[in-house]
Amino acid sequence: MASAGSGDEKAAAAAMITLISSDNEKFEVTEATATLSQTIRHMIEDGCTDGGVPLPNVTSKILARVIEYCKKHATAAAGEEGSSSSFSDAAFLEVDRAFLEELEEFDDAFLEVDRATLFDLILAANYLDIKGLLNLTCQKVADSVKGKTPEQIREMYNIVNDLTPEEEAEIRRETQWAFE
Amino acid sequence: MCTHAAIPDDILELILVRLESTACLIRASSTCKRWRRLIAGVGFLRRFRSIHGPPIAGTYHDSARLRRPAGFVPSPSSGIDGRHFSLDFLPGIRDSGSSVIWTIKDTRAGLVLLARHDRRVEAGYKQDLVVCEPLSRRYEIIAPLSRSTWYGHTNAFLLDGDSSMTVADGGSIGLSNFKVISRTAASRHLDGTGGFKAAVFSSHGSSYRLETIRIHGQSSFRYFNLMGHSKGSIYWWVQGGIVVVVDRTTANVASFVLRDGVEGFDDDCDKATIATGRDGKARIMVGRHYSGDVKVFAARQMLAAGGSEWVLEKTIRLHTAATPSRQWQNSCWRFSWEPDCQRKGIVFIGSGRLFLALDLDSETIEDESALKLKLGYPLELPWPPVLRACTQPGTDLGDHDR
Repeated sequence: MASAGSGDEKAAAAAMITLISSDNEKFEVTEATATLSQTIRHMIEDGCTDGGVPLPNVTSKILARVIEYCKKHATAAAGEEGSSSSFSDAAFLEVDRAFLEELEEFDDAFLEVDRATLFDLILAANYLDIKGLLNLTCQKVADSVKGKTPEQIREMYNIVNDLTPEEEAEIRRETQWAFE
Repeated sequence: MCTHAAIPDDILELILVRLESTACLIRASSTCKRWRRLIAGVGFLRRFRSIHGPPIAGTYHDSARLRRPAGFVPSPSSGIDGRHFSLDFLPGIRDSGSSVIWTIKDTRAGLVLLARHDRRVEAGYKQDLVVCEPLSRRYEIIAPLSRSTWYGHTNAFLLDGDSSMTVADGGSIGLSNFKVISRTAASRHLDGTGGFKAAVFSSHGSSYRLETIRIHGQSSFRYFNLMGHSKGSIYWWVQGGIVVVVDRTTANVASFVLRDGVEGFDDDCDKATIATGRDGKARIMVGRHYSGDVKVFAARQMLAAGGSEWVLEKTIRLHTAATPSRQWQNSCWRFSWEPDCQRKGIVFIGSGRLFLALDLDSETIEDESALKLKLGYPLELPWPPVLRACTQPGTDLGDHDR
């Protein structure tokens, strides 16, 4: 397994992609990291990544965070493939479990950002088509609304209340139980 | 600053569809017009329902006869206050003392079906059925089929109403659109065939319709018993392997025969019940009292005929099943079917004071006497949620995807 495994890794490590943020900063990443984004995967498949991939919708600040996420999760994906194909005994399952826990801890820490950054990450995940990151960030926003009143939700997300007092009263009347 | 205004509708929907509960969804729908418009969309509500499943409000816990309003325990994830589900609005339930007895018969979606027995002489010992919607505190009284109708020991169940009134994925049942099946009986006809009779009440037309299905090859129906319900159908065991099924969505009545594995079934002590397997599909359980054998039947699709056939899946020997409880005598037992059958792959067994859960896959028995106290009649929140106020006419519920 040593020769085949390390050979593949070398090949993957050799393939580097340059991502260019909207403010013209360049990021060198491995193909394995970059292809967590379906958008970039398609560009690579179409052979149009020479000279770097411009990402005009993503700032360098957000792109750095997105790459941080992709690096971690690309390693996780590679680890899973390796262990499931070669080993099945309890010791390796234990390693897998520990790794998944570590990944969860990483995700929790990753989401400790202000709300503006969180929305920027959602937009970037959507544009780059990174399913895992999109799910993670959308769930974070949904969880933040849990148990909150409409007033609290508006305050959290700068939502302008365009409902008239009469309309609000009508809404409360028809579903009173949800507001108490 | 990037705020929610920069988020396109399709991404905002991805966030809203992940909200924890229906109550949370309704609160979010009253923050602004845009959120309300997205949440009220039929396609959105369908996705929300497919991710979250039926919105369980909680459970009514007093399944015994009620002289006081039944206790309601809200489900932890529903995020709602249990007092909205009090049955204290039912006529006379508070002050009737011991002269009026209420019995919960069934729940379906957001409705509760109760039997009311007024034991006062001046009321003529009147018995009737009452369908109520606790959340809106409204009820409908169903006049008895006949003066002598006795609901105390009769099975009565709620069925969906007129299917042409279906909205979104919520099924078509509400206080203005429901059916009730009651007064079921099996009987023998003069020509030697048998029949299964059921009285179906429809809120449209407010009258009973008598349904009879004929069961051939049977000369008598000495034995007739409710097995329970699973996956939207109610099952009765008639005799000798004949099972009658009522579809709770369409009110269709059908019957089939279990062919192999029920030979020598003793109507007086052997029992049959229904359970839901781990795969979410119904299982028929036939229990032999003395041998302690439990035969599990599963429906198998027959590709050629296009129908399905019930075949013996496995036999579980209760006498040798692994059990942690030393008190389990396995000499005297019965199936204990529960309306609150949320747990897949489990069939409940009563034995003396013990309440046991038999796992259909591992064939192990656990003592669940503590769980017994938590089981009751589950109630759902109305679905789709009422979002009439401030939604554009074009996005009104039920206008799309018909």
